[in-house]
Amino acid sequence: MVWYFLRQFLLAGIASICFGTLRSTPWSAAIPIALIGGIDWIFYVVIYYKLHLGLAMCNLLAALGISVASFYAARHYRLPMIVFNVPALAALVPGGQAYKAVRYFVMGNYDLTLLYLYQVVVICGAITIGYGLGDVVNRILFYRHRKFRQNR
Amino acid sequence: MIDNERLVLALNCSLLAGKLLIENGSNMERVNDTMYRIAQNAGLHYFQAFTTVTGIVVSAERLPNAEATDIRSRADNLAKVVAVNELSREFATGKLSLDDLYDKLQDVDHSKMQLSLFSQCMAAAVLSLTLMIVFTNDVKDSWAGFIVGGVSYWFYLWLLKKFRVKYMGEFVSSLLIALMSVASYRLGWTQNVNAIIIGAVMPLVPGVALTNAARDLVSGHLISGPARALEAVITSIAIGCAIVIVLRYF
Repeated sequence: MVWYFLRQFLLAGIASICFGTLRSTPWSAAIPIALIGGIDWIFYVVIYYKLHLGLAMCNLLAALGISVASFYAARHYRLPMIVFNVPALAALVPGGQAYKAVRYFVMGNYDLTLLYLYQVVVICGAITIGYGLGDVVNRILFYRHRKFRQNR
Repeated sequence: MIDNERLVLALNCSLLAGKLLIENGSNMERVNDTMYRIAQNAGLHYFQAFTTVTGIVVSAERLPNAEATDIRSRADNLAKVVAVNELSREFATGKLSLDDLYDKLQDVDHSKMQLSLFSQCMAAAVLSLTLMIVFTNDVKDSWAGFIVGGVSYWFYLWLLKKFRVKYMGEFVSSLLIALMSVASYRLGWTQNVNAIIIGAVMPLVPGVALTNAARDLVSGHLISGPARALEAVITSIAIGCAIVIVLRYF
């Protein structure tokens, strides 16, 4: 079990780094990207395959996690947030489902087309809402932090 | 009092920064934010920007004409986004004058800022291998995913450089992916064609574009969101059709 999670963590982390490399993110951001991508994928695997929270909720929570983590990474490394939250999505993004939807559509298998199309829409929407909520959470955390400083 | 020439230069700076950000896949909210910030720091009053994925129009007070630019190519080069962000921040703190900002933005625009062909292909190959194992748990055939992903991405980059038509490049390199996977299956080297194909198309599929489109749509950019979504849909149609053409006949 531990071995399985370790493998998933390593693979998702490496995938995130490679995804970032294809979009030429700076090398100084490679390790945080791998950590965010790997840990978030483990989180997703646990809540989706073990706790069965459903497709939409799992993607939403995973995207929320990415958003919060990449906000802090962005502030710490002084880089724009897009450097962290795009590569970290590598394993979550519905590219495979989009491809499968088109493939089954062209092959004439409309049931599976609809299934995958539905998955694409749900995952996209969930990730979007997760990022939106992440912005809100970031703002709350950030302002509370500032208030503490002012009070001190 | 700022003279007119400086106003035009400030407008151009903001325009160029916006163009660079949109070209390299930033989301619209971020683009507008950076453009307005540069304009504000340069001392433009009543700055207005109309941003779409294919072009920008900006105007400011006391200038008779609006400035426009069109955006033809879109690539996801985040190094340029980082550079523009850094320049904008330096300009805001006053480390950089307006002329320097414009020169440096042009440098960023002209520079390539990309890794070598080989390392990009290696990254694509490793991405195919890792995502193939993550999604399908198929370790035995992953070497085929590695090779097919790397070679097809190299072919894609070559086509892109040669013909400059993105959809054609995706279509033809997906044909190559399907042909190579089917060939390896027919030769008896691999067992699972589907897993190899899913792994190998991963560097090409527009997952992030779809997500960006949804984010633009939700944040109220009703022109950019559907435009980006359409681009993503065309890309996935190109990839899917190419794979199906091969799988249909073999």
